[in-house]
Amino acid sequence: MADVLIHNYTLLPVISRFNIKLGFGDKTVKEVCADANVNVDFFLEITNSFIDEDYIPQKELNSFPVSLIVQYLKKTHLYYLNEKIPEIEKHIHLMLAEETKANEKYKLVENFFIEYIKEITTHINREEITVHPYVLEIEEAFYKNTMTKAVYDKINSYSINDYASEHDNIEEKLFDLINIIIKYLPQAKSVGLCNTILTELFSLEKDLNIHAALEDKVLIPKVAAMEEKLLSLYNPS
Amino acid sequence: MERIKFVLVEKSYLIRKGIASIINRIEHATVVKELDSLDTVNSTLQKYQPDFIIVNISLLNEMAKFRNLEIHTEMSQVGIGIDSTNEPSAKPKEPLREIISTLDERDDIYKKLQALIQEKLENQNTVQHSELSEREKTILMLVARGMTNKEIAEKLFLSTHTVITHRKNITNKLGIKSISGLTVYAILNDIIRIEELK
Repeated sequence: MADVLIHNYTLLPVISRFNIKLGFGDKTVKEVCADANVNVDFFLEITNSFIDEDYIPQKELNSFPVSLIVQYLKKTHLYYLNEKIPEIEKHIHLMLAEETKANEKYKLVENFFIEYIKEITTHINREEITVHPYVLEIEEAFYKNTMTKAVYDKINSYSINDYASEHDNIEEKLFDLINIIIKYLPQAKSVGLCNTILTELFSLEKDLNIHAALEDKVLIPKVAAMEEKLLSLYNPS
Repeated sequence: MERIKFVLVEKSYLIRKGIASIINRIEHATVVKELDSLDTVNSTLQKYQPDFIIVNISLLNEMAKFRNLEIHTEMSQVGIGIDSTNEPSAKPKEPLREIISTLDERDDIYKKLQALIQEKLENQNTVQHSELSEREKTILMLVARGMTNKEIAEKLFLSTHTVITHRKNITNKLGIKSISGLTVYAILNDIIRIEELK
């Protein structure tokens, strides 16, 4: 496991997402995962997608239960909202404090990011309140192989394709911010802070891309196939 | 700047990786897809729309099968062959523009590829402006004010379609997609003042 991290340090936030703690000595990935009660195959699929961004979708990912994928998605949501975004926000405030009062330009970055936080929070809340409970319910019905009127009505009122069509690109806006800082703003007074912010934005953007690929290319097709199977079972009588 | 895109079709892993690493080190050039056979070449070409396709010359006959396809006509301008027969290098024949031999020195390969890339870039340069035109600035200002495409079209007596084209060009030039990002750009460049925002 230590080799994995030394080879690719960007995986550090990913392993803490799986509740794996540092200090595992020379234990293998399999051993560390067993200790932390983590599905090792799923862990490998996720880490692989961080190392190679074209990795998703892999057939193997499709074989994992929806609940496992949802659990991981929830963990990444927590990481964005409780760690990454507050950290970037804090650094933006610090950078702004270093600038002269009259410098409205950097105020724009702050406003942009505050607006972004609102947007990503709404996005995440919608997934946690509506989408995740829905897909878990579909999975349960699918494994029980029973189709009730209640489930039928549910699919008809909100199917996974509705989610697919309203699933907006929250990583796009982040890239706009990166572009604005690099190309159009004069260099900030605090060069170090500015570089830290950019590095954090790049890593958040990458994380969001993988997160979105997992939703769009794995979760959505998987649940759509389940819905189809369930609908074919339904026989209103 | 748009990158010059290459698709690479070569069975030998070593040769493929070698050529890809050379191309990826050239400025403005990138290998978008590597294939080890012609099986999926059609969908690949359609998906990536490469500027160049590099194919092992032993596959050229097989390639002729694609003659009837639209993509082939494009290919006749963009093909580069790989010669791994280790025979004295042949002159490129139709549909190839250039031949890379596995006996070539590193600099030979660079020169051959550079010349083709340069030519391509010069053709592209006619559409390369990063400055916004006056028209685009006006549209950007209206976008920043929160107007929809339809409203902008009515105000400027344009079709909605034209407004959409302008907006695409603005986004391509600036690398900014979202309305809030465009608004920040507009303020930074004095296209609009903060007080004007609603």
